[in-house]
Parts: sequence; C-alpha cells; structure tokens
Amino acid sequence: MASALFTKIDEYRWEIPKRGGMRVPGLVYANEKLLGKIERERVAEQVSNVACLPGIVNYSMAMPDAHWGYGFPVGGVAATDVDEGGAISPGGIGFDISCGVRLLRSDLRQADIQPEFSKLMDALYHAAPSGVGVEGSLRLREKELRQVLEKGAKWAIQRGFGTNEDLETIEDGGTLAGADSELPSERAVERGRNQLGTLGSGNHFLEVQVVDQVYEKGTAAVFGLFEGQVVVMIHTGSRGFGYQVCQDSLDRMQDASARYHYHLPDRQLACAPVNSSEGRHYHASMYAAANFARANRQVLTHATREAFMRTLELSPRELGMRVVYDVSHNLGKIEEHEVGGKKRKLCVHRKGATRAFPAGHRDIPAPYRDVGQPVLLPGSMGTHSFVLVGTERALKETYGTTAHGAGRQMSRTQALKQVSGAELRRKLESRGIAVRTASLKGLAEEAPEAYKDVSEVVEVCHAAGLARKVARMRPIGVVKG
Amino acid sequence: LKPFEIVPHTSEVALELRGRDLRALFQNAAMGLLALFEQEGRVRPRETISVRVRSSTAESLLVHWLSELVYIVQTKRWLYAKVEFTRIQENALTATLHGEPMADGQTISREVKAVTFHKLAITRDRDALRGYVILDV
Repeated sequence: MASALFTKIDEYRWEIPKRGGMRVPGLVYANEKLLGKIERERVAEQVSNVACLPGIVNYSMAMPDAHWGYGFPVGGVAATDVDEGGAISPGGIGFDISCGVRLLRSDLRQADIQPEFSKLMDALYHAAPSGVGVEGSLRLREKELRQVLEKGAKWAIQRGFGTNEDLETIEDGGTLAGADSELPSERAVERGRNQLGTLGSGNHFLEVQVVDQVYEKGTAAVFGLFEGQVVVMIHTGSRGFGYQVCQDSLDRMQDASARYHYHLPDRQLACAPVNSSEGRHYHASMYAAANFARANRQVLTHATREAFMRTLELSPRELGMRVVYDVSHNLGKIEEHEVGGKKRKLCVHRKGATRAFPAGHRDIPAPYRDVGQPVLLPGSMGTHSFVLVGTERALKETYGTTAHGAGRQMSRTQALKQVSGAELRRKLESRGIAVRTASLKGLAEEAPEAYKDVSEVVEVCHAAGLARKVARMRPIGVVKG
Repeated sequence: LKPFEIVPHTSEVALELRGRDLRALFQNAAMGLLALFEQEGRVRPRETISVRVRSSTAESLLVHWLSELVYIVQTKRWLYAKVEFTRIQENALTATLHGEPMADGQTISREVKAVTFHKLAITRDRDALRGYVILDV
C-alpha cells in the first residue's frame, strides 16, 4: 500500500517515522485492509501525538482495531519509564476507567435453555439494568462506596454477590492494590453511588453466547470452555464514577502539564510524572475507579447467576457458572518489562487495548499460569466474540497487549441514517438472536455495520503473534444499554 | 448562522458553536448540550440553580461549564429551559439555570460521559466567536 504516513516493516507491522516533537516512532499493527481504515480515521495523527509523551519508550502503538478517539486513539498503547520521569496521562486511559469484559462459563448447552429462553432473557434484562443514567437496586452510603473503591470485586463477594472462587480468575484477584478511596471527589461518589450493578448505555452489553468453534482444545479446556456450551459475556465499566474521576483529573493535569513545562500537541494528553503528587493522585484515583468497575461486573455476575437459576430451576452445581476471566481494556498499570535488554518499571497505558500475558507470567491467575492469560474480545452486536490467549511475542513487543474488539468505523449519526432499530431487531431475531434493549435507537447506533469485522481483527492479532485464537462464540441473546 | 451544530465523530460527538460574544457562545453551548442529550418533554422554568465556574482560559471554562451542566442534568436529574449569565469573562462565570427536576414525560435518551479537551478551541471569526468541543458519549 502506498502511504506517505507508514513504512512497512512486515505484513502486520507499519512504522510511523519519528518527526516533529515525537520522542519515539509510531507502530501500527494491521493488515493492508485494516490499515486503510486506520489511515482514513486519522489514527496516525493521534499515534504521533502520543509519541510526544514525556518518558515514552520504544513505540507509540495502535492495535488492529484502532480508530479515532481523543488524546490517545482507541486501540492505543504507550508505556513510559517510571524511574526516568515517565508521565501518566488520564487521556491514555479514557473516561470509562477499567471498562472491560467478563466471561462466565456454564455446564449448559443451548438445548438446555431453549424451552425457557424468552423468560431467561427477560430475567437477564431485569438483572442487568441498562440505559441512560440507569440506577441499580443497590443504594450505597458514601462510607460503603469508599469500601468498594478499596476492595473492588472482593467487596462484592463479602456482601454475598458471588463466591471466593470467583476472585481466583479475575485480573489482580478482583482488587487493584494501591487505590485510595479518599481521593475521588464527592461528585464522583455521587455519580457512582447508585450505579453499581448496572450496564449503562452505549456499547455496553450482556450477551448469552454459545461456543461454536474451538481452535485450541487443550487451552479451552483449562479455561473451562467446550464446543456447544452456553456462556455469558458482560461488557461494562466504572460508570459515572469513572467518568468523573477522569474529568476531575484532566483539570488537575492541565495545570500540572504547565508546571512541568510539557509541550504536548493535544491538551487531552495532559499528564504529570508518575512519581509526582499529581501523578500519584491520579494513579490512586484511577485504581479506585478500576475497583468500582470490578465490583460492578461482580454484582452483575451474581445477578446473572440468580436469573439463570431462578428461570431454569437449577442449583449452582447444575448451572456450573464460573468466571472464566475478567479483563479491563481501559487502564494504566505499573508493570515490569524489558526495554533495551534491561528490566524497567513502566506505566503501561492501554486505551481500548487488552492485556495478553503469556504462559508462566507471575501476574496470571494460578489456574491459567501454564497456558497463558485469557483475552476476551467482544464482537459487535450480532457477530462472533472470541477468546484468545496471551503470547510471549506480545509480551516482548507490546508489553503483552492485543486488540480489544471490533472497533468502530462509523459514527452513531451515520449508523442511525443507515439502520433502523426496529429493522435491526427483526434482522437479529430472524438469525436466532433475542434482543432486549432500553432503546431501539441505541440499538441502531451499535449496529454491526458501524464496526469493523471482529474476525479480521482477531486474524491479524493471531497472525502477528499478539495472541492466539482459543475459541469463538456466537450470540443467541443480547441485553443492550 | 446556526447557534450550534452537532458534528458526528467515529466514537464520540462534537459541538460546533457560534456566538457574537462569550455570553452567546456559552448560552449556545448549553442549548447544544440539551440537543445532544436528546431531551424530550417541555421543561418549565419553575426553579433555579446557581452555577459558578472558574478556569484559567476561555476554552477550559467551556469544558467546566459543560461538565457542570452534564452533572446537573444526569446526576441531579434536573433539566433547564433557560440560562442567564450574571457575569461572564474568560476565566469565570456565574449563571442561573431556570428549570425543574426531571419528571414523567421528560426524558434524555443519550448519556454524555464527559467533556474532552481534544481539539478544544474558541476562535474569533470576523465579528463572531466560534467554539469547538468534543464530548464522550
């Protein structure tokens, strides 16, 4: 492909040479087709902007599903060297802090749920409140919410929303240590207080899916997955709480950037050294929001189990619904990686990108340590979703990171012009996908046409060595925000 | 010239604003935000809320102003019909919102997560001001 912006390294790697204020070059993972979309999306401009972050090492990267965002592109990855003045930027994590995906496995097959499926979908729709500004059934006092911020999914387990076993297969055991529950503003607390246990709106969803293809039988078995199995995928984040934490931090970072004399091409990239009072403030607040998101997905997990057990009259043992994994795709983490042959402490920003650690890594839950970390890649509505597994190559090249999903290719306005919600619902239902939604318009905005082809994104991740395919799921029921 | 226009963005949405001065520009921003929320149902100016916002520049003042309105509408669930500025300058504003708490028949059908600083701008175009702000929806 003739492009002035990108220099081809190989079939899946394209470099954006260093120029202007870029401290490192850019690197885009894509095949030619996806690169075309990425180029039209002006991702190169945002990748180049991110390359100006103080302390950035190696490359400013974009994953195959990258598209235009604000500050970082969605699908952007960058690491800064903590001990060399490396910066942390709220714009590199986004407003929906720790937005992520959780996958629940079961011992059921589609035939087991078919007779009561419509009732099950109604029950799930009530179990996972969705829509604009939706509130859950939990009403937390401020003191209790602050505990959520400290403990994450562990708080939910202590309150009876699940079992200790759930924590074993959640990223960081469900709790990010280092969160400071006192830092987030009262306004953040107010925005988040009644939203625990809700999906929200936009691209968030809860899907009932069936595993329809297994690529690595052994790995799938370790993850508890088999062909024909019913699974549930939950995609949501830290709700209004996280949005407010990010908004508050952006204000503080505008001042900090000026104080540290940073020259950044985009104010949304405003940042401060990780090792500074502003950096530590944001870091500990962001972790608090991440704990909110984990607690949120845990409460939803419990509600999902209850809905299944009640509707299908099953015992927990008969249902066999366990957490396969829970992974965030909007997060900044302090991790140790090798840079130029030396171990360095890095602040890895992943904005619309998923961690994908290989077998043997100490940060992988013990049950999966021999095979690698599960990577959960949701498709767009009505299309397949995938489970992949982290690789050694990803760890070396991208700090152990891969794509996060299909990635938008059409604005919501454009989607609304092309698709009607009612028609889309009929189309999905004619393909055997039940739909429950708070808004038909919201449904249309999330139409599959508005997204890139997730299978193509997965193929590029697999072929580039950023993750390996393990299993594919097709949706049979969608609860949509 | 339109007071505001909603401009689509792949994953977010932008407001393009025009106004003869800062007061008109910020007024149009408030009305543009209501359009973005896809607010439906008549809002009566039955109550008031006072808003004070400070910042270092006119651009960041616009971000703070819109964030404040996002908070009032989404978290307080309170809708405004009219905005009056008692004072507005580049680094601070005081305004009174006239409206009422959201009730049956009044809805918003789009969530606005936050207001970004990406490509944020206020520029002078001949005898009017133009503003550009991207919101995360």
